[in-house]
Order: sequence, then C-alpha cells, then structure tokens
Amino acid sequence: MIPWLSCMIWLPALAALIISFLPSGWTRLIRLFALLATGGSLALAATVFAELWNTPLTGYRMVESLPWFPALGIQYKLGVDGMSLSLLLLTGLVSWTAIWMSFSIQERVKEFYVLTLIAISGVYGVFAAVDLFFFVVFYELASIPMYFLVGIWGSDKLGSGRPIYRETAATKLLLYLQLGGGIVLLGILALYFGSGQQTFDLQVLLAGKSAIAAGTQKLLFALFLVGFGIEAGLVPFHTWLPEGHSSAPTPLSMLLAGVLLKMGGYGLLRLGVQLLPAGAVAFAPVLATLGVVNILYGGLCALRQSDAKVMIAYSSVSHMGMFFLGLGALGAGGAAALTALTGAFFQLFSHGIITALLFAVTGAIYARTHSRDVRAWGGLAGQIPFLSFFFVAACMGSAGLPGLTGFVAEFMVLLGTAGYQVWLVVAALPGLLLTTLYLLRAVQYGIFGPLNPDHQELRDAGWSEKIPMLILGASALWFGLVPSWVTSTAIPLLTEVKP
Amino acid sequence: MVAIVKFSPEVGVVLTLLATILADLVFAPRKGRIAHLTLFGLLLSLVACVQLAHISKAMMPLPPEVARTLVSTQLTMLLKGFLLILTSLAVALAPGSFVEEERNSGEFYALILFSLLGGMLCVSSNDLLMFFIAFELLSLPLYMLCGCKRYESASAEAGLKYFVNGALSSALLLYGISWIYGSFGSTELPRLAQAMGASSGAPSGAVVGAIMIMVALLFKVSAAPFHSWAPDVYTGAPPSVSTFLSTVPKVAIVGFTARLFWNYQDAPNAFLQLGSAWVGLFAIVSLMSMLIGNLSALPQTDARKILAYSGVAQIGYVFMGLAACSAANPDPARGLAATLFYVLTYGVANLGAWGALSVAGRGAGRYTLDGLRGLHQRSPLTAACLAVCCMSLAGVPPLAGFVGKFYLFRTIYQAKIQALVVFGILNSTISLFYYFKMLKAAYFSRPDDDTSGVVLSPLQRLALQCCLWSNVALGLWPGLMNAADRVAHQLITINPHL
Repeated sequence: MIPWLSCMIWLPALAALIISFLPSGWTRLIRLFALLATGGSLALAATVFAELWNTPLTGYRMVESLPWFPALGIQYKLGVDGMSLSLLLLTGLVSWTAIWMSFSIQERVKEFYVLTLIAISGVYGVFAAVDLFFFVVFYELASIPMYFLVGIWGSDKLGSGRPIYRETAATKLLLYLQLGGGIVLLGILALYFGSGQQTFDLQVLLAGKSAIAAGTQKLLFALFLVGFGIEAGLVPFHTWLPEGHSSAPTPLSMLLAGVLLKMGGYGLLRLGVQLLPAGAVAFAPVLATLGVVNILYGGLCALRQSDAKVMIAYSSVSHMGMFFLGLGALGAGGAAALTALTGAFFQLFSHGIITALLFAVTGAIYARTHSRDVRAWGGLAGQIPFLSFFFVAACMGSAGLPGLTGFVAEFMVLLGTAGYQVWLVVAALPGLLLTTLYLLRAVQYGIFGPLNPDHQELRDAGWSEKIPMLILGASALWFGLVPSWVTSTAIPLLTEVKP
Repeated sequence: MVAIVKFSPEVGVVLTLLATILADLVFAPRKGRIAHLTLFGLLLSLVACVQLAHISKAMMPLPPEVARTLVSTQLTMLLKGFLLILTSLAVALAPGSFVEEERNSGEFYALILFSLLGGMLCVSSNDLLMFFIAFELLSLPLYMLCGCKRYESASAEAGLKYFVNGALSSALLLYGISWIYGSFGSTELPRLAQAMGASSGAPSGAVVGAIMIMVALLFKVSAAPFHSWAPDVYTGAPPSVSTFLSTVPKVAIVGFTARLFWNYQDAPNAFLQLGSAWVGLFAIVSLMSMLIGNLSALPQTDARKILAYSGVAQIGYVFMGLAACSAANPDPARGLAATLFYVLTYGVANLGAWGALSVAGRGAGRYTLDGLRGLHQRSPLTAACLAVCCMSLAGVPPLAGFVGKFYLFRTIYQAKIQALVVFGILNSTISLFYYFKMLKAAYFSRPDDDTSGVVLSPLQRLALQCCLWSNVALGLWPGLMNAADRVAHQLITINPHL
C-alpha cells in the first residue's frame, strides 16, 4: 500500500532537498521543481478530497502509522477526517498558487524555494497529523522558515503612518508563534498526563475523551485558547499578524494568511472544541465576546490603513473574529450551535482562499506600481483590467458578496449566533459595515478614480500570475455556490462535537 | 590486566598525549600534523570505548584496589565515548585558529588531552578524593589553555580569571570533602552511602560538606549564581579553546553529578541525606540559570558572550532534568534518561555553534554580531552549521534540542514540578530572540566589503558537517533516543548500583 498522505506531505520537502543541491543559478529548473512538487501534492490532496468528500466521515481514514518512540507513546501517525480533508485541499490550492506567484522573487531564489517548500510540507503535516507530537513538529516546521522568509525577502512599510521594518516584523512573528507553540506544547503535555492515557495519539485521546474531568478540560481549553489564539490572530494576541503578514513577500503573505492562520483555527477546533467539549462550552461566552472584539477592532484598524497589505492583514484579524464568534455560539447547543460551528469551519476555508487571492493581486499590483499605498495607485482599472477585476472580485468576496464563499460562512455564523445571543449579532453587524467600507474605499482610490500619471505604462498580469488568480477566483466562486462540498464531510464531526 | 582493558580509552588518551608531546619535540612541527595525530589517537580510544560498552560489570569485575576508586559501567562508557567524540570534533576544528596554536601545537593538543583525561576520570571516579584529583586534572590544563594567547591581554585576563575562580571552587570542593570525611571517616562513595543509611538523620557536618561540593560542581558547569566567570573567560579565551571549554568539562561534571545522585537514589537515605531538599536545590539552580542566562544574553552584541550566557541557560535545563530524578517521579529512570539525552544534544549543538563561530571569525578575529554579517555568502556550510546548532539549542523542531527539551519537559511534568515546565517553555521563547539574532546577522545582511571568505580544511568541513547532521539525526531518528532511554533504564531499574 502506498502511503499517499506521507507522499503528499513530504513531496515539497523532497523537492527542497533536491533544490538545495542544485547550483543557485539554475532558477528555471528550481522553479520547475517547486511547481511540480507542490502541484503533485495538490493533485494528491484533490484526489483524496474527490475520494472522500461525499462520504460522511466521523473517524480517521487512510491512517498510516509507524512506531517512533514507543516508550513515550509517540508514533508517526497520519490520517484524514472530515475536518482535515478540506483544509488539506485548501493547503494544496494556496501553496500551489503561492509557488506560481513566487516567479516575482528575483534574488536568492534557491534559498527562497527551499524554505518555502519546507514550510509547505509543515502545513500539510499539521492538517494530516494524528499524533500530537508530530502535530507540534509539523507546526514548527511550518512557522520557523517564515522568520527567514519575511526577514530576507520581505518589504518595509514606510510612507505615512508608523513604519514597519521587515526584520522587526520577522522577529515579532517568530517570538509570538513560538510562544503560541510553547503554550500549545504545555497543553499537549497536560493532556498527555491529564487524560490518564499517556499517549499522543489523537485517535485514542478522542475515544477516551469522556474520561477527562471537567476541571481539567477547562484548564486545557484555556491553554489551547491562548496558544492557538496567538496563531489565529485572536485580539489581544494579534499584534504580530498585521506586521508579519504585511512585511512578507507576496507568496508568503498568501501562505501566512491562507493557511498558517488556519493552523491555529484548526488546532482550536480539533484540540479545543472536539476533544474538550466541556471546556469549550465553559469558554463559549469568552470566545464569542472575543470574536466580536476581533471583528470590530480588526475592522476599525483596517479602516485606518492606507497601506493595502496592512489593511488586508487587519481584515484577516476581523475575519478570524467571525471564526471565533462561530465557535462561541457553541454555547447555544442544538441546531444553532451546529450551524454556527459549520459556518466557523467554512470561514477557515473561505478566508484562506479569498485572502490568498487578495494578497496575490495586491502583490502583483505592488510589483508594478512599487507602492503599497492605495492612494498612490489611482485609476488602475483602465491600465491593468485583469488585475483590477480580480482585486475587485477578491474585495467583494472578502466583504461577503453572495455567491462567493465569504457570504456563506458569515451568514451561517451569524445565523447560528442569533440562536445563542442576539446581542452578539447586533454587536457584530457594524463589523460587516466596516469591512465593506474599507474594502470599497480601497477599490475606489486604487482601482477607479483619476489615473496616477506615474502609472501610464503598466503591464497587465502575465500568465504566471493569471493562472493562480484564476484558480483562486474559481475556487471562491465554486465553493461559494456549492459550500456543501466542504461542509458535508465536516458536519458529522461537528454534530458529534456540539453539546 | 582487567583494569587496563576496562580503562583502555583512558590509556589510549595517555598514549596519545605522550605521542603529541614527543612528536612536537622530535619532528619539526608541521602544520596540522599533530592535530591529525591527536585525532587518530582519540578515534582509537573511541573504538575501544564502543567495544567496552557491551561488557557489563558482572562479566569483568575490577580488582578491588581499583574498584575502590574507579568504576567502569555502561553509563560511564556512554559518557566517555561522548566526551571522546566531542573532543575529536573540537580538535578537528582547532587547526589554524591562532598563531600560538600552530607554533606550540604539541603543547596545545597535549593540554586538551590532559583535560579530557581528567574529564573521563571524573565520570568514572568512585571516591571523593579520586574525584578531586580528576577534577584538578580537568581544570589545570584549561587555565593554561585560556591564557595561551600570551600577548593578548584579554586571553591572559581570561586565564587568570578562570584560575582564580577555579582555584576557589577546588578549595571549596576539598574543604567540603574534608567535612564529609570528618563526619563519616571515609571518602569512598559506597561506604558513605552505607554510613548514611545506618545513621539516623544527617550529621550537620555532612550537610555542610555536601553543599560545598555542590557549589564547586556548580562553579565548574557555570550554573547561576556561580556563573559570573563564564562570559569573560569564554570571550577572552581563544574561541577554539572555548569550543572545548564550554562542552567537555560540563558534560563530564554533569555525568559525575548524575552518577553521584543516582548511585544512592535507592538507598534508604538519598545522597548525603538532602532528599527532597536536593530536588528543591536543583530546581532553584535550574530556574536561576535559565532566567539569568537568557536575560543576560539578550542585550549582548558579542556572539561569544551570547553563547556563553546561552551555556548558562542550557545548564539550567540539565539541572531541571536532575530535579526530575526525584522520589515524586513515578518513573525516575526517565528523568536520568532525559538528562543524559539532553546533555548529549547540548554537547553536540553547543560544540557545533562554538566551532562554527570560531571558524567564521578566525580571519579577521571578529566575533561580534557584525563580524558574522553575511556569513551565508562567505561560507554556506559554516552558516548552515551555526544556524542548525543555534536552532537546536533554541529547541526548534525537528532538531535534537527540541526532542531533548520535549523529553525533559515531559519527565518534569511527570515529576509534578509543572511550574518548572512553564518556566522552561517561557525561557525557550526568550532564548529564541538571541539565537536568531545571530542567524539574522548571518543570513539577513550582506557581507561587508572588507571581510574575506572563510577558509576551511577538508577535515574542518567534515567536522562541521558532523555537527550539522548529528543535530538533525538526533532529532529525527529515534534510534539514539531509544538507546539513551534503554541504557538509563537498564542502569537504574535492573542494577541501581552500577
């Protein structure tokens, strides 16, 4: 039997290993390898998705396991279930398109691809790991290269407002993500002993979850909330996010916002909500309140920005608030909780696709105008129609236009929350207005309006940019029209989760 | 005869050091030759060590006059083999590092070998006086090595500083031993344990003695609050000496401390009757070392100082492991296994980081963070070795340091000192800042125009590769971890008096 999941995870890392032995001048070959490897992983992820998407998945499928350190109950164990299935597909889509967008990287190409491919392997691993030790290992494998990628290939935000330097942003990102990872590790150790099972095997832990005392569950949930909250941009632990995401080079911004942020959300959903239901219910009001704070605070901060990438980064904070709000609505119980949870889960997928697209288009425009300030763009629609179209489309998706994925996710979250506490919905609604406001303003200043005389001779997207944008755009539309492709596999799991 | 066979690694080291001195006298000193000779001898000793590792105590009992002072077990063989590997790597990286090393290479390598011999005897000693002699043999050559760049004031200062501090710690050690001898009338460890088992309640003299011995040991491993000499000495000493100084003596002393503690764990009274206070002491030392080391390293701009303080912090983790070998731990053998494994990973990672730094700065003699700028362009291998070793020290998965820390945290959690785990994790996060500050210099910025490339001999390339890949291998390949676990378990659960 061929271990398909391992192939999917390790293919990019293998390519990284091969590339590290190639001469650094062979950029074409290096790019080809990177594209083939991530494309191969995407193909595998898509095949697995196509195989399993319409079967109700409650347990793990395609489980692969190898003993690693049996004395401590550590094994190399992978598997997919309803939650990881679509997130693996998301990883495939975002990583492949990010590699396409990496054609704009011109210096130290070899090192760039080696680090990026290692990070991509890590992300796949996080979503497929069943053993928690390897979950942590993969998580770090995904986040450590980001330090170098942001610090070396990133860009500084100068211009108006507070400057953001890429080296500071990289250090901040590293420290925050590692602190988050450390707290998660502490939680996992506490789980290891607290569950009384002395194993890191999630399958065994899930089977015996009812044995974990309610008090322990609350403590563990608090640890996971802070740990994964740092990763997922939970206010007040979010400050690394706008700096890191905006300083990163385009493909990295796509990966950071598209999938790395989702690792935090996935971890909270998996280890927090699925494994510790009593803890999750106890923290439901906190989650919901923090979610609303995230939505409003992120929106207000985004409204203040003139720098497109910083604005998008804050919009991520705001959108992750929707995810937290959906988790918080778990407190409602019954059908409302299921709706909200499904919405929250779908928000992970939806936000991944749309923000990746938004960063891709913004990066492409930045490469042409050499400015991240939307006020300096001006009237791009007439000059570069393809990029302008996708910028507007991505903004619409982000603002929740019906037909695209964002609408479905937010609608489900708010619908579910209405069954929990109506005031939360009332409080969150201005957030939607804020989103529309800052996005439309960016469109108005950047895409329409008078043409900036400096931008007379801009070239529209080349084929290496059109491909990723078309793929991401089509995905946003397709899954917006048939969200059940993503949610149907997760619903049985989430049904099991809700109290 | 049996004694010679069982101590053939030591014999090998003695022969090698005689050979290096003679070779220096007889033959015209030729560049690098004596280093090769030293390496050859070390590798032969290592082979002997590996062969002996399979022979247990019962199969070849030592004659009583030797067994009175020295023991030879699988644990000591493991530690000795490891000391030999570390010294070989340090020796391989040393040639060409400074003028005196080349001019007086016979002395230089002989001193390193003397110190190594002391370290190996430390690990094996079964008598406090024997330990004192071994401890001195370990230290005295190091004082000379630190000051061996005679015409540089920093080096002379380092030598003198280390000597004064080291002499104080030796004096404390000897004084402590005399208190214990006064209390029990013996310096043999097994008889001390017996005497303490028989007496009810610790004689106060023994407690005073035990504390003094402990302070001397803490001095030598530069654990806080006895660490203040370390940064100056490590900075002043030639970096190729610091490479050796910051790893081998620490591993030897930690090895002896673990043995001292473990030999008597199962006795009715734990070592020197400190019992639970012992655990508390280790926990406090661990906490202080981690905090002081990490916080002091943050503002440093000299890479040597950063690594020196990082060494202080890392010793904190080791003592964390020793604290976990307590009665509160349902599986205390794991505590020892985790400590052993962590010392192993620390040794390799720290040696690699120091080695890469000493190689990188050698041309211009600049070891500051600025001096590391653009190291990646100047020598990708050196930069990669530095990066991997620093990340391993910081505990980044999937490298050795992460697995070591994970194992430690797990066992401490099991020993119910959860607060120490929390502090350990927080400290690991703090340490990332300064470790990555070095990597930032090496990778983010371009080299200054006036800095030249790094010249590496094939042997040095090999040594750097070894450091680099062993950090990856120890992290990814569980075989070595399983082996450390097995050795510790065998030692403790089957025959606690090994």
